[in-house]
Amino acid sequence: MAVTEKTQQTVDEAVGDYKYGFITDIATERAPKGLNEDIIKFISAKKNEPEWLLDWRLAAYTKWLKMEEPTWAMVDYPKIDFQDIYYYSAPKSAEDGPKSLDEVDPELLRTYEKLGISLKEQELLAGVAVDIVFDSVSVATTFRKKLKEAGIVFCSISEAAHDYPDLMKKYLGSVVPVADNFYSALNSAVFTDGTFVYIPKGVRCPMELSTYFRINEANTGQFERTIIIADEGSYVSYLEGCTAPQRDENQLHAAVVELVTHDDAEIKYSTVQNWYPGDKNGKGGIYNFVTKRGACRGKNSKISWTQVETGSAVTWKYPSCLLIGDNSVGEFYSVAITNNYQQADTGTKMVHIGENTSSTIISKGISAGKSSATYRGLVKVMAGAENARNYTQCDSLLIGDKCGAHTVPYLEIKNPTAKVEHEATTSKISDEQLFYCQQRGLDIEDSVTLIVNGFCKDVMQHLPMEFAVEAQKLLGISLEGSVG
Amino acid sequence: MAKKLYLENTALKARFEAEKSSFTGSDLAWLNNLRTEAMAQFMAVGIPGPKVEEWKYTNLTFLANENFTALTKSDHKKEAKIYFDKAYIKEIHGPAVVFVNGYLDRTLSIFEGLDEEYFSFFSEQPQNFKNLLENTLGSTSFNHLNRALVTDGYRLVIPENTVLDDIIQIIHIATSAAHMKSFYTRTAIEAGKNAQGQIMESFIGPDHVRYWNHMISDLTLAEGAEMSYVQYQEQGLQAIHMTELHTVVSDAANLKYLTFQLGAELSRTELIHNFVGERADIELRGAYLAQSQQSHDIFTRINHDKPNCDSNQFFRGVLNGGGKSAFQGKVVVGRDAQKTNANQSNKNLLLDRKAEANAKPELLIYADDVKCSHGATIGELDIDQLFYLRARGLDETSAKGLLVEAFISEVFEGWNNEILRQKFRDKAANWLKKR
Amino acid sequence: MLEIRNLHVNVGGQEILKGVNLTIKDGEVHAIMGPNGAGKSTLSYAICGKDGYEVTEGSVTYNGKDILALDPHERAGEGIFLGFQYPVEIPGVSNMNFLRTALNSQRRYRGEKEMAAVDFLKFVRACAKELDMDPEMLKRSVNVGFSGGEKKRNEMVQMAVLNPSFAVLDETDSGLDIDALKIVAEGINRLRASNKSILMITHYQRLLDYVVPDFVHVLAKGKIVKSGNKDLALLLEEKGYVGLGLEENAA
Repeated sequence: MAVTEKTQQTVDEAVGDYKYGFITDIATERAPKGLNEDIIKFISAKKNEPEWLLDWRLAAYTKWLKMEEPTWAMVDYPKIDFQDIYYYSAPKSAEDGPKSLDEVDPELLRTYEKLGISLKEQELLAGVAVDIVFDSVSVATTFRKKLKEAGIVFCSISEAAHDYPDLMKKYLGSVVPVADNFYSALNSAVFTDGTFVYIPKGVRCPMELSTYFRINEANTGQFERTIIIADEGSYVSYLEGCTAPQRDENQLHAAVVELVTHDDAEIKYSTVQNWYPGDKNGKGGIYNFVTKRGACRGKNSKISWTQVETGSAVTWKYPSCLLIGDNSVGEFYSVAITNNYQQADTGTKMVHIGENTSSTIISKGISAGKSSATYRGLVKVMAGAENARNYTQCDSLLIGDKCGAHTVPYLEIKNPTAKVEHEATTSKISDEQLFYCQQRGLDIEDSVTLIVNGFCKDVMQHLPMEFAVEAQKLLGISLEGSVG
Repeated sequence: MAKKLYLENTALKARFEAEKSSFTGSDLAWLNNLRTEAMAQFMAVGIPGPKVEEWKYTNLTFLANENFTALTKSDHKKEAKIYFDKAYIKEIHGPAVVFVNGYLDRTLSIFEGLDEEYFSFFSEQPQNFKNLLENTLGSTSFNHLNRALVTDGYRLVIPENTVLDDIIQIIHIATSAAHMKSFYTRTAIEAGKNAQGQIMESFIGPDHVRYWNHMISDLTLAEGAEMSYVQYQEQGLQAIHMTELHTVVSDAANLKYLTFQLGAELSRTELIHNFVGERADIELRGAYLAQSQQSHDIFTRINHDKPNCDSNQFFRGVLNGGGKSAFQGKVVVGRDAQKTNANQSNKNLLLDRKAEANAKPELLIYADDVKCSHGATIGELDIDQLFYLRARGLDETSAKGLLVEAFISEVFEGWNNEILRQKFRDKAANWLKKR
Repeated sequence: MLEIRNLHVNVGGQEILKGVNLTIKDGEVHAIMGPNGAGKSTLSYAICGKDGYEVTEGSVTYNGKDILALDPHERAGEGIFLGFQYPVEIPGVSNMNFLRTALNSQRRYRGEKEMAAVDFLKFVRACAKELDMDPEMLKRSVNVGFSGGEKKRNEMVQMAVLNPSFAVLDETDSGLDIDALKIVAEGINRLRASNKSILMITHYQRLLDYVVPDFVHVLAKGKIVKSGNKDLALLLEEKGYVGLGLEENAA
């Protein structure tokens, strides 16, 4: 099959060019390698944290020590040495914390320029408020003043621990319990920064909020924590993007995201995940072990997850919704692309607890090279969840004959008024489709990109405009010329 | 790691030691060794606990505590005859092979019209089962337990180019003497090149009698062979019923299989199929109805390792008060299995608040030029359909009854024997009326 | 414009075209007729470069250029358009997006400037209107859920937008009712110009009532066995392939 070979070649070329693979050379401060109580105390002290938070971290650490790494996902990677990781790394200039963009290390600003994110521009023109997390710390948060006027809190999690201790105490670990899983416990012990958002009652956030995550230092783990609270009748759309330099060794990213919506509130959470995926021989790349969960606590509340996953060597990620409030709505829209030796085991959990709750799951998996993409999802309807509704559609697209595409859904229904539907298909890009596009003048790369974008359309249309364009390009880059 | 996930039952080991000298074929050294080794292998692993993924929806903790012992022979002829009359489908006529409490019963069996050379029985010719028992490839702990304690079983060999016209009825009867007993049967059906056969296997037993039967069947279809195979189960509501079917299908062979689970407190049906040839075709159909404390667990796995093969799965469940079900279906399409067509459909109806349905329809695909799909639904009756019937004058109960009946009957439609189709439709309708 | 010399084409190891010769000059409309299995579609795919259609001998030159060396999209960029017998569905990709990507790809290939979004929108809408296509259909996914007639009409809209210099139309008339046939014929006639050429492949004479060809060729068993003017098509209609001594292919 000449077709596939050619495709593969192009794919290889495309991935060889991970365009975010540069390393920023700036002075950093790091804690010694490894993890123990002293490191946790060091992190806590660096952040000048209140006593209760340090205690919380230490309790999490004690629990983590007793836990085992999960092995049920369809991913395969060498055992991680958790003592061979730096748990704290921060740009030196951040010591005193930049007060405005002007104080941010110009080298850092250039880094973000390279990423295609001009902080200045974002602040002045785009109308998107940005929080930047570089290795372990938040380095800049834009638009704060304007947001503050609306009563919105948008700051780093370290600041929130100081400035909003009540909110932090109330919500930290309230959706993802410390011992929920191995990585959430680890994160709870060592999280270094992240974003905190609080939207007060009745406020519709006037702009998109976004965080860009960047791992820069070698051998450094990134453990950020994100908390977003939408109080009664509020709305917020939050975007998250991530990149990392090209390095030969694997790096660990274990984040925890907690969302809470109260009555009539809505959170729309979008992710474009483009961590370094490793080279074409599977060397290097990020281990992306992330726990994301939202609780629709209020009536008529809604949480919508949209993710475009193109990066990371290994992804283990299940953004979920606990539909507690009556009439609450959970959504999960996902595109996961794997290539070369990438492995992704991703999906969602929709737990229907309240009455008249509904959920929608649309998952599009695309595998190429020697990669594997797994959808793993749970739809659970509890006995008291009258009239629960779920619709799930999982489609897989295989490019080449050395990859794998898997679908592992769980349906667990304990209420007779529920209506739960799951559909899945597996297919490939047909030679006829390709020839049709080429005959109209598109070259092979553009043809594949076009067809894959069409395949993903049901998900892409849920991304905010600012992200949709970037995501579409990413699909192209990840798969250029996948079929020839 | 396995230790934590699996449960121990030392009583089974003690039973094995006590029973050792009275086993079928205890005069055969190879068999004694095999049993001893198998028992050790079972004890090394144990009974799957609730954390074992394959047993996620069926909790076997009770098996670790309850003490099922070996059956002592007793007179149960009269009782067995009653069940035989109930189970034997006269309209089909034809031969019948009858097992009572795990042992062949020649007096109840009807060998007329059947070439007896095709059949052999473990209790009579254990050496014919040597190869079967010695193959431990991919064995689970229950496979080992079955090998260690096997009581009886049949082996049917259909020679090349032979077509068996009659449906062979195989009837497994449990009597009240089986209370707190367990028995383990091992069967094999081997269809030669271009051979054809039809099997109707049924399981029947009394209410209020708790026993555990465990059967492993090996089905081998040579090139061009065609088999249709039905397993029907209407045992008492205390029975523990487990069957495993392991199929190997060669070039252009064709299997049609249907399972209908109606009785037992707990049923587990494992259907594991391997394609070893091309252009072969497997169709699996299943219906399960559960109420009160019943639970049915259907576990299928289809390994597509060869190109150009088709598999279709069609399972429907109806769960009434307290009834519980699980459908775990896995289709694995290997690298070389291009041009595979694999479909899987599982639909469930919950009729009551205390009912529960679980589904895990898995697709694992490693080849790109394939068509695979699965669909699963769990829910209640379509209200539009219900309203339509009521608008035509049906009361709610009969309208619902009609729809549920239609829902489950879809499993039987398209089965190649009208007598069985009708029989199963009636059984389902009867269950719905009585529930 | 197009010069086919002694063209031999294998498909799946079997020789389907066994030495086709055909010259099409600027502004000419040629029709190729022939029984099923004669190799008509193979000829169109070979001209446009579909994978699996292996040219073992002969040449195809287009405006003096050897196009057999070009990828399919490069041939499209040179101005060759294929109207498909069975237009392909591309889920999730809107007609509009598809056409814009195609047109701009071709323009880039030719070193021309890409068309601005607003101009493009106007242009496509106009093309659709002229061919009586509901503009709503431009927003729908390429050919997904289209009827047979709608698909063929969509091909004509694409042809109008891409404005090729040479069009190969493979059974564009099959499966159309008379109204749709007229629209398709109009689409073809619209393209006719002194500097453009058309090669129509058809099984029936019916389309030729509306698009009158300059030349008619009969393709049988992989070769052009007879050529003439439009009267040849009428003769074929009347007497059939057998009647003309052109043995009907068993397939």
